[in-house]
Parts: sequence; structure tokens; C-alpha cells
Amino acid sequence: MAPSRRTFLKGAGAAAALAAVGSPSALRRVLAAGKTPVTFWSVPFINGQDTKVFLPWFLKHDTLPDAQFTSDYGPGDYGIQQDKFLTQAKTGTPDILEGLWENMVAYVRAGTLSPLTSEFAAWADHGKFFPSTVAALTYNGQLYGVPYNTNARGMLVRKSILKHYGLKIPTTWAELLETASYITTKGQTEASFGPVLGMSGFGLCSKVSSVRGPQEWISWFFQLNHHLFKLDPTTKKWSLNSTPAEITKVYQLYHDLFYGASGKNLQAADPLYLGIDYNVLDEGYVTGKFAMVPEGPWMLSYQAYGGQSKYIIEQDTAIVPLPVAPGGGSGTYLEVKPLLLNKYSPNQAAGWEAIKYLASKPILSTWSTDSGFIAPRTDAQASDWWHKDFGALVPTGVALDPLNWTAVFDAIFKVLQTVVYKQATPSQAGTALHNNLSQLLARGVL
Amino acid sequence: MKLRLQPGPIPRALASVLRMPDREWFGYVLALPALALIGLVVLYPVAQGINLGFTNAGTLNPGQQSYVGLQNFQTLFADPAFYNGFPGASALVNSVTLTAIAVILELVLGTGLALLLRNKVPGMTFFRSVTMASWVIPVVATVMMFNLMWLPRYGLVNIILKDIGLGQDNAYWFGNLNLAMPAIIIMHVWRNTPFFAIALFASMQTIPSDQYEAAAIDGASWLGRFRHITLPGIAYVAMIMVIIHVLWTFNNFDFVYLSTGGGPVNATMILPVYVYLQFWHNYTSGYAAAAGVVMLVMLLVVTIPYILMVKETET
Repeated sequence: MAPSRRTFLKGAGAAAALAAVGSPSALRRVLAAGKTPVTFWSVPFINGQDTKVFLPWFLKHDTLPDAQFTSDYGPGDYGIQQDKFLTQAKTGTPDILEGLWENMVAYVRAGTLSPLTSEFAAWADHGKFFPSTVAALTYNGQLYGVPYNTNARGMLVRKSILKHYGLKIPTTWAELLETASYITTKGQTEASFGPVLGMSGFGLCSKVSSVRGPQEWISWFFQLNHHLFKLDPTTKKWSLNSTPAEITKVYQLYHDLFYGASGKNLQAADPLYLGIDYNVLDEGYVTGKFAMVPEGPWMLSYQAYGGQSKYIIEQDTAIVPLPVAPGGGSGTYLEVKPLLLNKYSPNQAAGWEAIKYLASKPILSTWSTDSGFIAPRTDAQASDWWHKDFGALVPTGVALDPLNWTAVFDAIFKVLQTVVYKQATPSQAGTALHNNLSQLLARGVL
Repeated sequence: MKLRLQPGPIPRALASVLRMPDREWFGYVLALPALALIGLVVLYPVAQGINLGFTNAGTLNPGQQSYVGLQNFQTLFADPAFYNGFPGASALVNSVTLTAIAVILELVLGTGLALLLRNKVPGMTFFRSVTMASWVIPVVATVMMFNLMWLPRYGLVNIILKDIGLGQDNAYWFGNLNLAMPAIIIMHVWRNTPFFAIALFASMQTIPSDQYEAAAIDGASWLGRFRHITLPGIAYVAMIMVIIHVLWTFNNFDFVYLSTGGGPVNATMILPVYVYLQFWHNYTSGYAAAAGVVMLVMLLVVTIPYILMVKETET
């Protein structure tokens, strides 16, 4: 029997409502409660990193009085999220989003974010947030995001591997090269530990367009200089605050990690792993392919896989600062992930309520404890060894200067590729990046 | 002498429309909504894209753009990453190389697979059904699968290479300067060859069997039958498949972006990825549109034989 027109219209209406909120259960909840639906784009909600334990809990405890999260969490990738948000923000969807700090300035410059300065100041909880994380989200005197996740990049070390060879945890670049290359060399022939022959002493991201790779690069750079750029207070214009020679030092480190320092044939990072992205790096560490890796607290989520991953994370990992550059000091990439409000959202009030809820003490306490990241609130700190050790790195973290870092990171990594694939010397690379960044500044891209 | 003015092309066209019989009018009226829709979703964006290519538009400064003439195109052809870079590092050369090698391999292997599918052996029906599996699997899953297979030491491909005595060639294919492009080509061939095979197999089924019987009676060899009966029989479909796959492969973005991002050191940089990076990483939408215009012109050249073939068939 053919459906009647009334049946057809009912079905079409239900389908349209479903499309608007994401799933039948979400639709039922929103309609039943008479609340304002709020679309929250969250990459971790899609890719599962940081949320394996938290998300089911969150869905059960979603208790906003006037707003209701839909189950449209947007794209599960920060690059795609940025592209889509820049393109479709004017449609009003999403209402709010979490994202990478380095994309926030691009959103502000494209005019897609609501400033939250007055709302945040009026919020009773505003004094609970670490000032450095709030300052990092301030651009041209306006606060554009509320921090919900922070961490400083450190190094994870397999304790059993270093113990096996009688090695100490490296604290300088020279020690890192020595220690890691010893493990790489031994790893070519010995499989007395771990499951895989051919362990690499050190691992790091070197795929072009990698999100994580430039964060690693800037962590090494921050040991030499906390500001790649400087702002002229009178002209309000940014200029480079580094020299080709200084930039060269970081590229030299990458060269030496893969090919050994001059005169020594040492490979701290096995060149077979050239071109890998974060997924290979993270999974490689918990499956025994790397002895030491630059990482953040999200790695705790790998304990949920059980077996060897759980053992390595819980029993065999030490969290230490990244080895320090010769003549350098403490400094590492401080990641601050913001919650942002779409300027074109028709639900500004509900969006702000949702942001406050997501950044509240109960939510951040649970989320950070389950997933490993450091909550940016003083009253939501977890006290286990993982959070304690990663938390100890936060004071050494350096926030990025408020510029358009997507373009900067792209430039850094394009040049990095020429070094690690031996198309340019570190010195040539240092000069090339200095020139490229100067051009980007001159073109007004940054 | 009295001077007579000839009417121009527009008045002539108008006059011919007005002379149309009612039935033809009605036909045009019926086609109008479809034509308007095509104009809206195809012609308008294309025209906008071409227009954008002559401006200095930026993704972060919407609405603040001005015309810059041919400046974008001059910059484009001066950029070694786009054109005339060192071998294996130019988007234009890489795109043409990838398309040419992948489509030729797909055609050759697809023809071979189609010949196998024609055999009446047990289990062939099942085999024909699963042939298209590579087309069903999403691209992102395909890239992840190959990524795992090409990991150094414990990836399947490297394990096999080691087992057959080629252990010295152990490498992470997507991260290797010399192997990244072959790895991309292999993914294209793996995905598209079955589609070629099914289309060519269907075309082979339309060749009358009595032609083969007559050739066999005349003593033609297998190769002779293939050359003089099969090949002419599938030529038309093969040509259409080649043209379609040239367009698809040349335009393909996801395989390269997901697997290598255009690296290492531009070794797999192709035009669609180049355009994407210019638009979303450098925020230069006018410049990216100019690169898109160059792509459009190149693809139009490839499309001409297809249009001519379709026209020939219609007449």
C-alpha cells in the first residue's frame, strides 16, 4: 500500500528533526525537556581520544537546566573541523566548539567567534582558572575562549628499556642523542625485551600536515627562545624575534636525531620511521616500538586497551621534561584547548550556559581524571601520579604568541621535511624558515 | 545603391526561437527547471571560482578583495611546488605522472581480470561478486589499511619483502621519498582495477560468440582472437573508462591527503592537495582558485575526446 500524503509528511518532518539533532534518542530528550538544543563540535567525542571513559559518563549526567546537547559532534579531525567551521559558521551551526588554540586566531580574524570577556568576568568561577591559560585565549584584549584542557609537552620513557641497558634518563640534547642511539643500535639485533625487533630509541612526528609535529618542533624551540615573534607596542605590528642561527639549532637537532651528530654515525630516531604521524607514534610507543617519545597526557587513554598498552602506560612509563638544548633553558609547548562560541549561533545564551557547564568543576574533574589531561581549574586537579607528573611540567609551558599559527606551523614543517629528507642542510633550513616567516608577516597572513 | 544590414547573431537566435513550433517550445519549458538547477549548482560556482582566480581574496578577510589581473597565475607558474620543481616535487608533473601510470595499469590489469572473469570455472560467480569489494570500502579505511601494511618491520608488505630476501628494502612507504608515489599509485590501482574489469567484462559479454567460433574454425590463435575480436569489441567502453578515470584520478584528493599530505618534501604533491593547502593553510583563496582554473583547463582538454565520442554515438 502506498503511504498517504499525511504519513509521508509526518515521516519527512521526523527525518528533518532527526537531522537537526543527530539521533532518535537525542531528539526524544530535547523534545521531552523543552530545552534549547546546543550543537557542540568536539573532536575527542568523535575520535575517542580523551573520552573513552568520560563520554558515556557525560551522556548519562548531562544535566543542563535550559539547554540540551545534540549528538552532532562535528568532524573527528581538527584540520577538517577548522575548514568546516570557517566555511559554515554563518549557518549558526555549531553553537559551540572545542578546538586547537592555533586555530582560534584564524576564527577570530574571520569574524566567527563571540568575545566572552564580559560573560567570563561575570562568572563566579572565573577566578578558579589558571591565569596563564586564560591569558593564552586573549586576543587583542578580548577573551575568545574558555580553557577546558591544558598540558605541557613532556617525554615518556620506557623505564624497563633504560634499566635493561643500564642507561640514565637523558636531560640534555647530547644525552638524548647518545642514549637513544644506543637503544636504536642494540634494538637492531636484540629482542630480549619488548615484542619487536628493531626498537627505535626515540620517536617523533615528521609527516607533513601533521598537527602534532609542529607542536614538538616548537617545544624544542621554546628552550632557546620563548617568543618566535614580538609585537611592536607602538605600531601594533608583529615581527620575527629569532635569527636563522637560532632556528638552525632546532633543525640541527632533528638532523642529528635521524642521522647522528657530525662525526658520529648514531641514529637516535630510526630513519625507517620518517614521515610518521601521531597515530603511528602513539600506538608505536604502547606497542613497544619506541623507547622514548615526546608526548602529552592524552596517552593515559591507551590504558583502556588493556594488555601490553595498559602495562606500558601504568607500570613501565616515566614522565619527564624534554631534554634541554645546550645553552637553553626550560620551556615547552603549552597546549590550551578552548571552548568557543559561534558568533552566528542563534542560541548565544544557551551556548554560553553550555560552555560554563563543560568548564565546570564536576565535569572537568571527571573528564581530566578519566582521560589524563590537566584541568585548567585550580579546584579540579586530579592527584594521581600521572596528573602529578604531567602537572609538574605545566609551569615550564610556554603559550604561543597570539598569531595565526596554522600558517606558521605549515611553514615550519615544510622546511623541516627538507632537513629530515636531506634536501637541505639545517643551516639552509634555518635561513629558509626565517625568510618564509618574514614573507608571511609581510603579506599579513599571520 | 541601397545598403542592406544583416541582423546580428542575437536577433537571428531570437527569430529562430520565435519560429519554433509549439511542441519544441513545450520541450524547452519542461527542461527549464533542470537547466536552472544545473546552472545554480554547477555553472554559478564554476564562474565564481574563475572570477576568484583573478582576485587577491583571502579566507580570513571575507569581502575584502580586489582584482589583480594575471598576478596569481604568474606567481603560480613561478612556484616550484606547482610547476617546474625538481623531479618528483612539482604538483603539475606529479598529477600528470600519477594519472598516466595509474590509469594505464588499471586498464591493462582490468582487461586481464575481465578475461579471467569470463571463464566458466567453479566459484567464478562468487569471485565476480567480491571483485568490487575494493570499491565498496571507504577511501579512509583503504588508506588506513595500506598505512598499516606499509609500516616498517611489522607491516605486511615489509614482512613479505623480508621473507623473499628483500629485507634491505624495508621502509615506511608513505614516508619514503622514492616509494611514496608508487604507494599512492598502488592504492589507486587496487581500488579502480575491479571497476575497469567489471565494465570491460560486461562489454566482452556483448561480443557475439559466433565470431569466436568462426575465428577458431579459421585457426586463429588465442592472441589473434583477442586482438581482432575482443579488443575492437571493448574499445569503446575502454575509451570511456579511461577518460572517466583520468578525470577521477586527476581530481582525486583524499588518497594523497589522507596518506601523505603531499609529502615527503612534495614528492606526492598533486594539484588538488596543492589547491587545498593554499586555500586552508595559507588562506589565499584567490590564489587557490587560480590553481583550480589551471586544473579546469587541463581537464577540459581531456574531456573533449569524450564529448566527441558521445556526439559520434548519438549521430
